[in-house]
This record gives sequence, C-alpha cells and structure tokens, in this order.
Amino acid sequence: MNKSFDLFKDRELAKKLFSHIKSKVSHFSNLKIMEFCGTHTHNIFQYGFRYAFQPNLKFIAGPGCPVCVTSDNELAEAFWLLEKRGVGVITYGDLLKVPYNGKSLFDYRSEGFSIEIVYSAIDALSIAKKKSDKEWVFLGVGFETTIPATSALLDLVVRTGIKNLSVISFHKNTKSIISALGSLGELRVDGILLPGHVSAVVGWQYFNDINAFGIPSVVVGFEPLDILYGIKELIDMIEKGERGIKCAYKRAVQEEGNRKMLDSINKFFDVTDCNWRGLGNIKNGGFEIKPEYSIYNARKRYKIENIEVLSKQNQCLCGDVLIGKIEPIECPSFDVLCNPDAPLGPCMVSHEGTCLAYYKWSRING
Amino acid sequence: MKVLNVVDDFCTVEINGVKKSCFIGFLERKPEEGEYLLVHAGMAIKILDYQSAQEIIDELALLIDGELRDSE
Ligand code: SF4
Repeated sequence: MNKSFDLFKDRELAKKLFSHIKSKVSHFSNLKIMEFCGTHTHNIFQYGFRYAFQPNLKFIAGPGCPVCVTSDNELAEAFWLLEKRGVGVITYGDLLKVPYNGKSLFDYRSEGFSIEIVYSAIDALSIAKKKSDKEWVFLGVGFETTIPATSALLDLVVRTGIKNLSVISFHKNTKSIISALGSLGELRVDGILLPGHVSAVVGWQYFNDINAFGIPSVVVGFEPLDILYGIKELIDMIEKGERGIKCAYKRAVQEEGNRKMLDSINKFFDVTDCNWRGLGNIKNGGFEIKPEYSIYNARKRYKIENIEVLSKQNQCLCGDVLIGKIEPIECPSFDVLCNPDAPLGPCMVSHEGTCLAYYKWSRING
Repeated sequence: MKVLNVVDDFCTVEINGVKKSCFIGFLERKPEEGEYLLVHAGMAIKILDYQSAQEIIDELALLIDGELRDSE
C-alpha cells in the first residue's frame, strides 16, 4: 500500500474537516464551486461530498476531461487516417468508444481496422517496431499531464529513426480554456478547484490568468483530505474576499512545476489555436508539433487538410455539460437513450467524463 | 505508486497489487526501490516524500483544531 496516500485518507481528520466546512458554508447560500478536473468530479462523488454541502454549496463540473473535449474535427481526422491512408492508429483506451457521426474507433476495430490501445504513449514505439509492416499514427490526447509522454515518444522516434510511426496532436491547453471560459462569461462561479496533476507538471502559477476574472482558486489533490482541505482553503478565500491562487497540494506541486517536463513540451510543441468540444475554436487552446519536427507530424506526413466535419448527429449536450451550463441529469437522453454501454457522447464514455460520474456514482450513492 | 525496481529510464511500480512500467526520465533524480511516485499515464511526475507528507498532515490537524477552538 502507498503509505503517502493513505495519510490523506485519515477518517478522523476527514470527519473533523468535513464538519468544519459544513459549519463554515452554513453562512452562505448558493455558493458555486467549479472543479475543473474530471478526476475531481469523480472523486467528489466517490467520497460523498457532491451533495453534502447543499443547499449552501454546489459543485459544478468543469471541462477537465481531455477525451470529452476532443472535438469532432479531431475524431474526423482519426477516422480519415484509417479509411483514406490505411494507417494503424494507437491511442489511449478511453478514446475508443467516443462516437462521431454514429461510429467510434471501437467500431472501426470491429471492422478489422488496426487500432491498438496503450497505457502510456511510449508503448506506441514497441507496437510500431513489432508490427513494422504497417504505418502507425499515435493519437496524442490529453492536457499538460500527458503531453510530456507524447514528447518522450517523439524524442524516442527521433532518436531511433523509426520510420513507420508518427504522431497527431489532439493535446489541449488548460490555461487557455479557463481564460476562454472567463471571457465567454461562462465562469459564473465563486471559486475554482484547479487540477492537481496538471499543476504538478506546469506549476501552480500557470493559472494566473484567472486573476483577471477575480475568482479565487485553489490547486487541489485527489485524496479525501486533499479535496476537503482545498475546499476549506477556497471557502476561507471567499469569506475574506481574497483573490488569486493558493496551492493545497504542496506534497506534489511546486510553484515552478516539473522543469524537465516543461522543457520537453517546449522542445516539441507550439501552443496553437484549437477546437474544443462545446467551446469551438479556442485561441491558444491546443498544442501542435513544432515545424522542425513536421516529418513526425501525421497531419503533415499524410497531408490532412480541410476534412469535412459532419454536423451534430444526435441530441448529445456534452458541450453544455463541459462548460458547467447544465448538469448531466438535465440532458433528456441521460440514462434514457445514453448510458455507458450505449453512449451518445464522450462525457458518458471517458473515465473522467461528467455524465459517467453522475451515472455511476448517483447509483452507488443512491 | 511504489517503486519495485529501476532499469535505465524506466521502473516497475506497484499499486494495490497491480504492477506497471513507468517512465522516470522526467524526474529530478532516479528513484530508489521502495520510494513512492506520483504517476500519470505511465510517466512519473514527482518522487513523493513520506516525511513531508506526514508534516503536512500534522500541520493540517493543528490548523483544524485551532480553527475549531476559535469558532467555539
Ligand atoms: S447524458 Fe449522454 S447525451 Fe446527454 S450530454 Fe451526457 S453524453 Fe451527451
């Protein structure tokens, strides 16, 4: 067992902290706190906090599920690579069931297309080496936490000179999305719980742009005490009218982040405009492989241009769920036409998806 | 996740009986057997220090007790 993590599950301390928060929030009515990160959404459910402070405090799930914000444009690119270029595709398992135009990568795999699942981006190298009669494209999905893994893969591809593997970046920039939500007027919340793992990579001052919107924010870890402590810090800030960013996850997050990971991201990627599901084109919303490495960029290698994206195919409201405009239970398809076995949208597929969290934990917690 | 062994830029980590391979090339130093790592998608982000985690918990406990006393 990981003793470091067990410390942050201490029941007695959690109980104390929980009742302390409960009494603090009793002075408020209708406080709204957004948890940016999909893992926080699931954990806040799992630990029983989601409805525990209502009606004084309500949690609102944010857009922090990288698979969920992967856009139809990007899925169209993946499908096009399979159909038109005959390459094999390697990616993380969560992306396989995401539907686009009535089909998913999982369906393609059932039809005999070459699709491999990896736990880490680096595993793509051994697949391409082992199955060297085929050209492979790694679909790089994720926020700043997974981009270093794609950078490490690119570094190995460059160093080994392997010819049958390239990368397409669907990576997203969390910093820009928080600013975009603020500018769009969609940050109608009193405070934000910021993602712990992203912050461990980029450092907790990365999100400084939030200051422009005057919303206090706290970087939070994932264990029960981490989350409760983060909530308490945030409530304190709201009470005192403080702005800015605090870090309540100091055992993992340093102000400057992980320098080697940041250098690796900067070596291989440029920040670029990018399409997010639910938000459309976001300025500086993504990461693209730098021009000097374009021979490893599948968009360049296979000349992906202007792929037609078919318009909305179903009644999925993931876009509204992702920006916290509605809760999944407000979607008419939730648990009627849409469930984890027959998902209409990515928020019901990904292990970080908000709709999946509501589906799974509402049942377990009653 | 607990480090079981280290080979070059990779190590085997274990959590709840499940073993996984993990890239450690982004860490500030090579971890040692028995140390704990913060891992995301097969990448180690940070070596976790039990001692400082314990200190954080102790501080938190003091803070809560203090605040509870003040609010009485
Ligand atoms: S419940 Fe299903 S259809 Fe509705 S928003 Fe979520 S994923 Fe989309």
